[in-house]
Amino acid sequence: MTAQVEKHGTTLGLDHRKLGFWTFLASEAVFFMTLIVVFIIYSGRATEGPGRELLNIPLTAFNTFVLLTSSLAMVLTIDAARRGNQRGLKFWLLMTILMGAFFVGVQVYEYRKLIHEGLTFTSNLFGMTFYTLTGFHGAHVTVGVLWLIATYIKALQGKFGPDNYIPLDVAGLYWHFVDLVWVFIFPIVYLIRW
Amino acid sequence: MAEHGGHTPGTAAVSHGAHPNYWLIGVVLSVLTVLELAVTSSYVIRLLNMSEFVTNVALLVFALAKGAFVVAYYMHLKFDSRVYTTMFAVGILFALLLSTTFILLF
Amino acid sequence: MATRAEALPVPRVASWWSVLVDWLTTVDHKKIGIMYVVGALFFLGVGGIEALAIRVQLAGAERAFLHPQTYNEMLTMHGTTMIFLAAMPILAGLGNYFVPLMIGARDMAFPRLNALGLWLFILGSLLLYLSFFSGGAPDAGWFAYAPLTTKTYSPHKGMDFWILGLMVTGIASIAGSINFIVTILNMRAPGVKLNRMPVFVWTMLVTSFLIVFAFPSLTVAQVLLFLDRNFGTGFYAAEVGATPILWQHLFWFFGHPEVYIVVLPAFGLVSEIIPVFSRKPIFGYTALVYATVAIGFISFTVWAHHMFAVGLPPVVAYAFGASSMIIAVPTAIKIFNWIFTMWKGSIRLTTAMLFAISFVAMFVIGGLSGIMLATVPVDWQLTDTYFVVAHFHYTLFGGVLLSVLGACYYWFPKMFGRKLDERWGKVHWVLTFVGFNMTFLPMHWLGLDGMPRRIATYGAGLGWDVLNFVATVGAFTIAAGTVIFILNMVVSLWKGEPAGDNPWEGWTLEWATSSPPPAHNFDGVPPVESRRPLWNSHEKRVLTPAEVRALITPDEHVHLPPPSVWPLVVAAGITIIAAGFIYTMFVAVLGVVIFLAGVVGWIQQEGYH
Repeated sequence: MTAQVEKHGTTLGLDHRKLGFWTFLASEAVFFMTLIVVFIIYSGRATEGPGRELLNIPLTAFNTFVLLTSSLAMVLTIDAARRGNQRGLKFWLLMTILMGAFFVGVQVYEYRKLIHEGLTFTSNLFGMTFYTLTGFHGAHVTVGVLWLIATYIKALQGKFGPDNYIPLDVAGLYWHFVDLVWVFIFPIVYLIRW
Repeated sequence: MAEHGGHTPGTAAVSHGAHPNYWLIGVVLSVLTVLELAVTSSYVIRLLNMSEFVTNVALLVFALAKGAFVVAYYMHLKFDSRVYTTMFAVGILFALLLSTTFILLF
Repeated sequence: MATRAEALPVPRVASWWSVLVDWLTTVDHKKIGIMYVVGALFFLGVGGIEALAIRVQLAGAERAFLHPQTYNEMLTMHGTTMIFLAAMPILAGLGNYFVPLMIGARDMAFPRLNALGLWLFILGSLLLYLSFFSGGAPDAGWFAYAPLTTKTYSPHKGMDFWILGLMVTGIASIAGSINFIVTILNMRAPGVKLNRMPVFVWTMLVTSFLIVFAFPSLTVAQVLLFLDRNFGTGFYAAEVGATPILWQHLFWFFGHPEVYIVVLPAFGLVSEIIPVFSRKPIFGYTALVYATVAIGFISFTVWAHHMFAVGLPPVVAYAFGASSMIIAVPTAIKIFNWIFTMWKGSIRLTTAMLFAISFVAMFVIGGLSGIMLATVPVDWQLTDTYFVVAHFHYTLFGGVLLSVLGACYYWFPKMFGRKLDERWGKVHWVLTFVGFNMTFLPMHWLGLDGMPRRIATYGAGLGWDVLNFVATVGAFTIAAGTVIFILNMVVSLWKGEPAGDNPWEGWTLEWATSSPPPAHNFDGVPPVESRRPLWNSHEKRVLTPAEVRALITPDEHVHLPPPSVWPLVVAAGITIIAAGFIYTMFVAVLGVVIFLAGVVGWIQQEGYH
């Protein structure tokens, strides 16, 4: 696990993992854009039944803030790793995990409340597209949290440092990407009147 | 931690010291989120006499700005190899192609 | 491997076991490539048998060889198998074997991810075929148009197998593509600049990008369909205000790039074969590469030409018609590249070359009928007739399969150290070429005469019997050729003429090592200063193997990754999760456990990065 080996011996001088992961994220971008487009073209159609007026915007805005802040914690994690600050690394990584888990928790709470108020997966087109889009995002956040927990276990073993932070960097790219997607889902689903 | 690396993007060897003030980016992102809420509040809409179209455009602009900050600074594309930027940009290009044509078609 | 000719020692149980374990846990791109190709050839055979069943049913009017339901299943599985389980993996396999060799690399960038892709392809394909034993195969066409695929019209589980089986192989395709992109961009030997890469490597690069950007749209379409079928949603249900046309747009946004995903590497294969057997460098390398990239981009802007008949606004229809005609321009550039490469060359009509030349001719026919179909009013007349079937078989069979068969003859010596028999190869070529034209040429006339595609039978007295019978005879001619091909491969594996390092006097890097190559591919890569590293430009000839060896400085630091069982475990986990979504959630939970165990093992394994 000597990470900076990647700089030598590759044609572009780039790390394989980062190059591959950016390619993967480009693919994911098309995936989420497709889901968002399905939401957009179906919003405003067949609006009978429970709709977006049930959405709790203040709560979700707070959740948005939490997810954005978790991204901040993630970059601080990597920054600490690059400086060799093991305590900072573990602290900020744990913060990232907690905020990510909080985001998922609030989303579960939101779903339960919405279902209780009558907006289910099969209520109408809004229900289908809303749960599918936010559900896929939530699933990605959950995977991210699991990934970060696995990374945290490795961090506790002291495996990351100035000369091995690429695995953290890649996990961070995933985490920020999930944040990035939410940056667009939040206004498109919750704020804009289509 | 405030030093802003004047690193030219595109060189393959990434300078490890260069990074922005992450806390400042965090504040900017939060402010933009507050602005998103503001332009949808009925008080601001009445105050500025905004049409729904203006609100929506403002929301999209704020979202694009936030996205740009996340990609450029948190995902450090601004300080990384241009190959990564190109890779992601091509993905976004196809995503935009799909989304604009679909929205026009439906 | 090099001593295949000698009788193997009497096999002991332990040695068979160790051979099996060796192949199941390998991360060597060459072994993975061979398994891809073998798996794909197997499914090519299965898809071919399905095609024969269809042709027997259609050999005459009002025949009852197949029940209409079975006919629909055969039709669906034939298309799905040939595209997803034969064409894509055989190209992925050839790419896996030869891309690292052609750029002078030791392996792919992510050896375990590579193995994961292979096992997902194999297990996903088996999951799809499990449908035959679980109540019925998919029966709504490989294009799976909603609402025909919704629970109401396709009530048995066949379509669920289709969705989840193809999702599993789709993960394989995306994983494989990311691997190709990183390998090609980041693992080239010194001197292998982008503009010196063999054209096949270029086409694999562009195809990988197409896969990465086109598959998400298919995945979304399939997810929504799966939810519709199993969780009561109505993304494609007009009765809840949704629009079924969404499926067609999502599917063809993937589906048309998919056509180029399989045909671009085929272009690449021909661009390797024709120059070598004309003893000339490829004509207009730069134009050829730019045309490949251009096709890649334009292929994303033509999808709605599959949908002219669904009622698009005229402006939209004509825009897509125009872009479909524009894509003919870079394609035609390539055709001229190949023709001018042969022009005044000293052509050797080997079997590989015969397949490559016949590819050029047949693909032109398929391309021209494509331009006819891009004309909106013509399409309205011809859509859903056998003319379309003729068209896309000229591009896919005449395009992809002929060039892949050519590549088999071209590269078999490199992969196994022995040549395929050339005389039987030519018999194979004649039967395939004649059989292909007998099968698909008449379909043009059948289509113009109005015979609809996708139907299980047709009435007597419509005048379609004779041509259909000819087509069926043609299909069996192809089958006869294929049997000869299989026998040729099996016999040549043991008895073929030893090939040596460079039997065809090729000049790309894969010929700079032994046949078959050692596990580490090269002791060292010869210096690359042009597009033809093994070409002596002063004496206008290919370097001999001895001269190549003299150029090589052996690399002392050869590090090969250890074998790994975890790709197989992770792939099994993913496939079992997918199966669980079809059968019962308990199975899915079991799959999750296996998957997580595999991931943990994967992370913990030493020796990588």
